[in-house]
Amino acid sequence: MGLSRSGTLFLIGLLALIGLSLHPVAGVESFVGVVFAPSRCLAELALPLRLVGAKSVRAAEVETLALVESERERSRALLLAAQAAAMPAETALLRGRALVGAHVVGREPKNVDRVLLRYPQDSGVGAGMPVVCGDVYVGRVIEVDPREPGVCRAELVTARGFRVGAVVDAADRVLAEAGTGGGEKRISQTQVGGGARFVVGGVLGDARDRKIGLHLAAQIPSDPSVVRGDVRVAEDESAGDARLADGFRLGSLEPVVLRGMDPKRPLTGVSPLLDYESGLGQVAIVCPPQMSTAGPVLAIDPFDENAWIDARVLLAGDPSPRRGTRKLAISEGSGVLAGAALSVGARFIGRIGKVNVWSADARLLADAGVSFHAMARIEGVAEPFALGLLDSLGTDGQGGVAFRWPATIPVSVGGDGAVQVEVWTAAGEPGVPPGLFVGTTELPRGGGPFVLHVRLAQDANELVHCSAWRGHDKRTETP
Amino acid sequence: MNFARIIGWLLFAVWATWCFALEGWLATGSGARWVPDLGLVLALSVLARAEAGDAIWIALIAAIARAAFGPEPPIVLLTGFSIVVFLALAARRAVEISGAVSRAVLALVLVLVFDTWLGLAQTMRAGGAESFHSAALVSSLPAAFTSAALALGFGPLLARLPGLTPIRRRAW
Repeated sequence: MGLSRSGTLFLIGLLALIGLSLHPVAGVESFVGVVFAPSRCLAELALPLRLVGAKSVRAAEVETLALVESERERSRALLLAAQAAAMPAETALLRGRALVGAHVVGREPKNVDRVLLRYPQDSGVGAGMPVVCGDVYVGRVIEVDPREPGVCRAELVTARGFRVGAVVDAADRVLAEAGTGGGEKRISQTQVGGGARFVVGGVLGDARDRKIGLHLAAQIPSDPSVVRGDVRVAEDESAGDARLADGFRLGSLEPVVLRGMDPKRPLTGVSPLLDYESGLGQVAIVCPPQMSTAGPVLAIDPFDENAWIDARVLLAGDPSPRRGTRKLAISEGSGVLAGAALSVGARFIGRIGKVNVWSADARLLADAGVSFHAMARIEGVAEPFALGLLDSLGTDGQGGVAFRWPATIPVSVGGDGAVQVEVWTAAGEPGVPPGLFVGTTELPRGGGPFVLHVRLAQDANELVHCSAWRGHDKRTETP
Repeated sequence: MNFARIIGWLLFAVWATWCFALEGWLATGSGARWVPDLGLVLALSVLARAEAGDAIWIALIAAIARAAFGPEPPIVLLTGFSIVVFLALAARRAVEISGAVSRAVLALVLVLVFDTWLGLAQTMRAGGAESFHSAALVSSLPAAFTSAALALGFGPLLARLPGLTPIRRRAW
């Protein structure tokens, strides 16, 4: 079958379009975006469909707004509890130190082991000061941002090249028995404060290897026979502010066999107590005792009216059957950025996908691929449990939404069996404030990953209005 | 292009927009997977009787109308509809696609092609962060079948919607 000249040109043009679609070129995308500008006007033609069912939607909105105040109060209580939980609980760790509450506001785009922290201005935070979460060591401040007071950059203990001195408190010692051909005998021994010393930092092998799990590298042991025990920070005498970290926990020392390694010659690694990748929201910066402790205070008020703008949904629907999106009548000039949170009252419903010249794409929680940092509120437990990153898998066919949950740190509270929890957004990434109500679910115990079936607090299907997070004016932000 | 044809294209844009809006609105319910691709069936119905040279206009206008409500980037939609009209024109050279069976089969196949393209483009543009599964293609089957049924029952009616006469050149 031969092609006419016009057919050949069409085919060439089509191949070029396919190439440009799969490998986007910014200039071409912008040009096509301008050509498609009339689509924003055409969207207004859906007005009759917006009016159909508007009454029932309004009734649902009124019902939601009636619960706003109580949900806001619960949210504030949860955030304050999260901040309180970021302060050390052990009395020994409070002695001789001042603590400054801080929250994670983002990460370096090209280095996830560096986080940006916001803390009270004029609190005297400086480079080298340790960062902790409860009794657990997180990393240290490496730079105070001179352009933005109250913001510093901290490097996590998982960073390549990070080193912190450590001591194993309660150790299992493995001794080679002479004359038994290399056989090993394990004897338990408790050595508080005087155990083997290690240098801890960076991760062993592939951090994403789910089979082994993340382990911090423990190197240069003072006693190679020590392979198990609780690891705590014990910095060198000459380390200045770093010594403020002494006594904070790092995790449990254990033998680790990486993929392809001889099982008889394991490495030693530290199984961490925190999900460093996505479970960090509230932290504390440890300062010298002459400085004053600041916090806990509500650093980000998720319900500050100035931080949200109203957004009109152009159509309560989406022609793509596999997606869960909406078009919003907000433009580039609104100050809303890609990734910003969308809410109704105190409830989280999704995130902004892309902000175009005259409209924006909203990705609802039911849209597979939408993710956010989450924490769980467990009935009867004061402090929230950090869930880390929840990644939407789309609707679950049972009226809820399925989320992939890595469960890097298994649930250890709330009795036996699965735990009924409320899911809330957590700090840790820009655009999504902590303390927005997502829904309820049941957390399984043990190591993940799991699929969580979350019954959403807000059905966003028929919404005609929502709010988009624009962020705080940092001049008015507390603390 | 005379005034009547300009009006014809504008009205095609309006009809296509309403089709996509209705499609999106119906898809919020529990039977979302069974909602036919109304806009694509309209585009195929018009294309069946349009000049080959008008195919690119049909692709462009259908893409703009769909972009009003869908999350896909404009260039992906333009490419998707261009693929659809290219394949439809190729089919038109072999069979009479305005016939009942052929238009139904064509709608079924092209809805699957279009959905596959959207899924593939989403995966590729996400840089591997989101994966494309063959299950996604299977999930498009219900919509493909209902689209085929729509084309079978209402294809000629869609092509004769008010205002589209100037862009309908070929006789039925």
